[in-house]
Amino acid sequence: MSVVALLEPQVLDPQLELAELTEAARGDGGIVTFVGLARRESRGGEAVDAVVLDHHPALTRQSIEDIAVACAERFDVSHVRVVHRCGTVPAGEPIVFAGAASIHRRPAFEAVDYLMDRLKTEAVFWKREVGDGGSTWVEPTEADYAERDRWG
Amino acid sequence: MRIRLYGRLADAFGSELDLAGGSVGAIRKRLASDYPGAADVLARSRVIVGAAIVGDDHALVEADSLEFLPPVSGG
Repeated sequence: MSVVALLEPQVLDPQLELAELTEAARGDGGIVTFVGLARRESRGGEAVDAVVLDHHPALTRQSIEDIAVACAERFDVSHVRVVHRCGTVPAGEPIVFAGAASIHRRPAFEAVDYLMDRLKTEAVFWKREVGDGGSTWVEPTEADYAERDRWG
Repeated sequence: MRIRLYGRLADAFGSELDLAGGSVGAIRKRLASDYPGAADVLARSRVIVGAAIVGDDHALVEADSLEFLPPVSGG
């Protein structure tokens, strides 16, 4: 069993993260991963050049780790790996990698779904979208909270 | 005392400032008075002193460092 939760201030390389998870998961039956990309368009339809993630020096990484640990305890998975960008992420570039490995596929699918629902609402970031129109702070939507609340 | 702010509050006040006040509530009120546009976010923000989340009645001493955390955006 391993749980990895990292905050990445520079570049998130999904291939590298998958390679690390694959190496850890050699005794398992499968790996499920999700890669989130910084959106090119705001909810209002305006072009976004970059997403800026303000973070706390201690609480942000801790919040990611807490979610990853809770995931590992809740589902029948062998390995959980979450890597989240902070700082400025140009539109279209990876912003989060969430992966889980397990003997059978179902727990890994559920684990990654759970990871993302909680990260989207609870990870300690203050996020703004930057575009031609300036800068707009973003908070989770009601739909995001509803997705998170499915897990009880 | 030193105050660290994040997110929208850093936009409004800068990421760090120095203010004197006898309690967390007094600091929160002072900030809201200085920048009424941030009053709503201030009211919804958690405050950390040391490593603990504290309420408005928490008494402060000069050596304390405060952090104002607005509601998080998530990842």
